[in-house]
Amino acid sequence: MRRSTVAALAVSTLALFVASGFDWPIDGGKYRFGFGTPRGVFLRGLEFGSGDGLVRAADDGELAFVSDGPRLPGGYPLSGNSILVLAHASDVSTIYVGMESGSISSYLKNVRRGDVLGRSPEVKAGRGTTVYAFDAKERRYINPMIIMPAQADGKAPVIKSVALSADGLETGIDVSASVRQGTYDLLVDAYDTSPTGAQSAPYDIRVIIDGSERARVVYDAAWASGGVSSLFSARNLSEQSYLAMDGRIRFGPYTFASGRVIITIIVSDYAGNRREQNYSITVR
Amino acid sequence: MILYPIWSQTPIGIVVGGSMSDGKGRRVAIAVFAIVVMILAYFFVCTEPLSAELSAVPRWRIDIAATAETALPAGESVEGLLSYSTDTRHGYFWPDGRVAFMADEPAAISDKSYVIPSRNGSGSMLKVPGKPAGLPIEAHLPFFAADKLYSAELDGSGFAAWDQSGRKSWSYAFPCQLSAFSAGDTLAVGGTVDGWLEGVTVDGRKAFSFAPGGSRLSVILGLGVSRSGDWIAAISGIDRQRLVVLGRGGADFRVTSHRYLDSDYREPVRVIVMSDDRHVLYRRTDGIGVWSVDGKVDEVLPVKADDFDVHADGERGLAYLVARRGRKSEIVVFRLPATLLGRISLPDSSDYVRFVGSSAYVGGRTWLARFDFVEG
Repeated sequence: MRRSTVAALAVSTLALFVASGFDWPIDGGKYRFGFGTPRGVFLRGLEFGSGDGLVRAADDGELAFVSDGPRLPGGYPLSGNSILVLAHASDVSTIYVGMESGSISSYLKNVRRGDVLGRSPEVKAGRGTTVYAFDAKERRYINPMIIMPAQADGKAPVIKSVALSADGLETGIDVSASVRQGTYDLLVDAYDTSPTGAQSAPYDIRVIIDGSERARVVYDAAWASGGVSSLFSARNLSEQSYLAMDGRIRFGPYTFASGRVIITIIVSDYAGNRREQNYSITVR
Repeated sequence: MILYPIWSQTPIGIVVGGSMSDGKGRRVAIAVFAIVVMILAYFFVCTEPLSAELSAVPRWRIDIAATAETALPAGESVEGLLSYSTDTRHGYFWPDGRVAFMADEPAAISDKSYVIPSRNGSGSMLKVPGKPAGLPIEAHLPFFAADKLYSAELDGSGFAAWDQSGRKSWSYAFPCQLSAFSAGDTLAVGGTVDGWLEGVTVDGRKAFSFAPGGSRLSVILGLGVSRSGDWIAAISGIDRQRLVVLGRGGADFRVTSHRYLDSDYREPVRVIVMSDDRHVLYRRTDGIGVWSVDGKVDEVLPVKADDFDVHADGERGLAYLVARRGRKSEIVVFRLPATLLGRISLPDSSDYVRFVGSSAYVGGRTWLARFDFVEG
């Protein structure tokens, strides 16, 4: 069995093991940005911003680490000025970054599900509190949506734009386009609307060319090895190659010979809502 | 130099009994002689020098106010400047008490350059003191370590290195958030919240990774890398906590010593490998621990501190420890491994303490002072 398949199975197994074992830690799950949203880097957790402001333990656990200050000894700056880590009985740790400094319940060593850990700052433009789910056994982040209670979501994701890119030149595709034959990257700008109305990441993206599935990514896990950040347990893509500087998603490269090519992009969210868009390319 | 015995100088009395046989008397005489010889030997062998009296002599104290940054005066260079920073102010000054400039904003700063983080939508700027124009730099959370410019990743799970032109040299992603960081001249090491140490070379390649383990919960709470990059000390784990020292062995690092600790910290813990590449200082519940990389020294300085820093005065064989506890801070002078020579309490507003040789520069937001440690 391929290693990536094993990894995907591991994520699924973990999800089954801890399914509904965790509660939403903030705002009943009304997050701003979901797993995979480009936030300077590929967001490996869920970012929250307002609501009642209380951050609660997602499950029973033990405080493994807490730092409430702008930097670690050695000078390393802490984004959001704080970090708190809870170790849980399953191999999953939950990590809370960016709670309000001075509000953190650092005296708690053993916590019960729902115990207040601190306050989340109310955020208009900057960063709020981000909650990560980290599989300590596999040493990878998993999408917290997988282990948190399901949410009602009736909105399908949005495909904002699709473009072909070669040698630094881009050709936007608006339903149809005409390009020279050659090798192209496919740049997709797609989002899913988060419970707070922000443009967040989708969960599943498929690229189908002339009826054949050429790429599929499932936003289930992210990890790093040897200093390189990798994404998606079934694909093992480098973050640097996947996420363009402007936050768009890169697929390919694909070689197009002269003729007509149909590209289908299917984007789904975690609740299963789906958006499908076809693009007709004339290759000269 | 006066010499004195380590042990107590209390006189030792010897009482000899009354009537005795010749044989018994000889044995007593031999015993008395042996004791006298031992005492004499003790005085000659087990002595150590008493340090000459150490005084802290004030040199100057100035009030500091924010000033505009201008070009350095003619004949002055960046070389002599010392950086100053608190959470809300940064600037540069000369050792004689003249101020180059002070700015009312935080900055990542070293003696050679500094970075003003982005604000109000403008990007970060990399600047050199005395040159008001700067270079744009994309570092979001910049910081200096071992005189090199780094930046933290926004999610806290990596860092990047930058050159003096403001270009990113490399970036390095860790499997999860960092709970400890330290850097030497040739090595930067991150300790992760899941209990791993991972070293990164100066060109951004993985040098090693190591999980100390041995505890019920794995986490790295504190980490120190020697300036040479040859030694790494870390406090790791919960139930039980451990101090682990790694030394460079060929291309890799291996454990050279370790010990279990009585502490139960869940917060960042200061660990420092001193510049002698031999001694490790670490926070303990009963003071500041002094450990040697080979594990042969295990002492405690009776100094309670939440955080501390240390500066070695190699010329005099002394070390100056800046110990902080809440708003209180003090300078403790000691001789390695753990002979405490004296301590000076600092004003509560002493947010800035810096040593150069045997000179201490102490300051708050609005003042700066220098005093020198002199023997006499």
